[in-house]
Amino acid sequence: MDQLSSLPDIILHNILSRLPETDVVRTSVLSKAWLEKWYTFPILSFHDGYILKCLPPIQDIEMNRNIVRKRNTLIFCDYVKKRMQRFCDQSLTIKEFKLEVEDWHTFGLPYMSKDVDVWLKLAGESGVEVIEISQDRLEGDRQYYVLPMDVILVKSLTKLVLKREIRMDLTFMNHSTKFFSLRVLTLFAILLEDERKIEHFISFCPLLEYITLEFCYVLNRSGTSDLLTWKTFGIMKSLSLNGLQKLKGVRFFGVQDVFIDAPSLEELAYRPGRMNTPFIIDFERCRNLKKLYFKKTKTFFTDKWFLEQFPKFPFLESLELIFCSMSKKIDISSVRLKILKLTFCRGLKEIKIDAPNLLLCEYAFTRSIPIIHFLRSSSQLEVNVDFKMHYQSIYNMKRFVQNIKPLNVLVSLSLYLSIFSPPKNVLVSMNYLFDWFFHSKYLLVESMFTYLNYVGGNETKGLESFIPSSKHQKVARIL
Amino acid sequence: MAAEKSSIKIITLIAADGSVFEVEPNIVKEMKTVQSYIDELDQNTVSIPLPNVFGNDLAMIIEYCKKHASEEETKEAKEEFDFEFVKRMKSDDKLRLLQAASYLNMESFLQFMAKAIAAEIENQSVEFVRDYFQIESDFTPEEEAELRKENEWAFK
Repeated sequence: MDQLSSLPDIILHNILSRLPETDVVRTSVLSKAWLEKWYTFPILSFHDGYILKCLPPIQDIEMNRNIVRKRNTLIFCDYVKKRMQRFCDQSLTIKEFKLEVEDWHTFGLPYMSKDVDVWLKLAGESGVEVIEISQDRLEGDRQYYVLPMDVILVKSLTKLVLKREIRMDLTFMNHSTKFFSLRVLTLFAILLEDERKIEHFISFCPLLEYITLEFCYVLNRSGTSDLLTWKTFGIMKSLSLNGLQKLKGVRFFGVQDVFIDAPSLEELAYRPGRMNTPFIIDFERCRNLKKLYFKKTKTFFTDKWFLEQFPKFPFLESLELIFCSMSKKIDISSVRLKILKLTFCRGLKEIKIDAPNLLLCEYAFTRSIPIIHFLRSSSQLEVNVDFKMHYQSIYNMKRFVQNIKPLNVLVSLSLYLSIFSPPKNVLVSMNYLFDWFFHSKYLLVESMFTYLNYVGGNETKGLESFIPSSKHQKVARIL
Repeated sequence: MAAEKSSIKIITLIAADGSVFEVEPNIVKEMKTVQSYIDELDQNTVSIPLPNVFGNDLAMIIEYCKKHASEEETKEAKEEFDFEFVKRMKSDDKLRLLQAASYLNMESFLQFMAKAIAAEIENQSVEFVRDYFQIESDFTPEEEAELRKENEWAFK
């Protein structure tokens, strides 16, 4: 007996839980004592791509693809069944059950649905706390695995993660049982009957802390469950949430209209379903928000919003906007704000930031070049600018940097140069370019190419040689 | 009685090799084995023998506890300390410290050591892991071959 296998199971299982599944399985041959630890390890994770990888690959037998997939489906199901059976026979606890299938290996979940139903039932009876099911389908008609909800909603379940082509049949939700255990619900590209059913379901889980709904679909009214085509289902049009007292974070991507009233909500991430159609996001009552993340919203973050709505969230510490259209001029004023990230936001010409406790301001852009003013700023403020630019924009860069006021807040300037073979005069101007940024402590220049070549010249110089040495630390990195 | 307990100023820990450590009560709070011993005693000064922990290891554990119990240290400073702490440990230090953490019943230190050990064996061969944990296989070659075949995919 080695020193470690004499330790309590829970400690060795703790180590195993931090390892990838392959490493975990390999510990089974270390010794008899370790085999026993592996047999009782309560986290079961099955990925068809891993488990089938020792079989001849599909490409070799392209002609009989379906035969191979049929064989693979059987082998995979057998393997999972065998491993689950031991837990069942010995009444061992299954804490986590994870299943991941891809349809280029097997036929996917709909074809093994009877087996999956049994595994889920087993997991449910073994005290499962975490269920994660995901599938990837490349081809064929959309086939859905219908999740057996009564099996899923066992008292021990705290986290449910479902990804792609799974259908949640929520019709049974008419009775009044509440699911007090569920804390985390993540649904990605899942088919839901309609918006009201998922609202109803969520209201049955009063202690939910985190909800993620990303690109889930709902059946159109005329749609029937037998014929599922793109015409019969669409994006989620609306979602209304209230009464969840413990809710800490939500992430709604691909939902057109959202209303949330959750007093304890700290994190909200949102992106509408379609960018060019009107959307509504109402979170006015979530006064304790700390983190806001918005993506691809048009005409929401106007100067008026920053003036009238923004002060309603006095605890906001982090604001992150990606691909959002904005007003030409915005004023951001906050005592609490620590992090501000604006990534590829369009339409912005001038930003005034009055945030004495701001620690990090990140700004990424490609074309438009705004003016950034810092009115009151912390001595620890770090401003990072990321400019993915074509060499022709090099002169505009100078203007932008000179516009950041006061100048000394700029800590890092990251330039991504998309230069293949720039003309000589550009490289000469790059020398000046680096001189302009004397006030930046770090200068990161990234380029795809090890050497920038002078066109028409004999000389080849490394990127580093364009960066002047000075008292500031400058970094050049070649990707 | 509560007043008496709070008057404990210094706790003496005696390691397996006889080395003695004097620590403040808030440092041992994380060591549940020690804490429950203190709670049972009704004395102003306590000295606790820890026959399963060596002096060198105990010194490291106390250093860790001091850093993490400190309210003055920032989260970043603690993370930096953890990083250096792991770097300083040799492989067998980690195994001994994990056992000590188990014996002393230290929740967060156990998590910390489990993470450090997992990082060492991640993506390593069976032979490496056996060597690392000093495990001697008690399988016959046939038994091992059979097991490997059962989960063939993990050994490719």
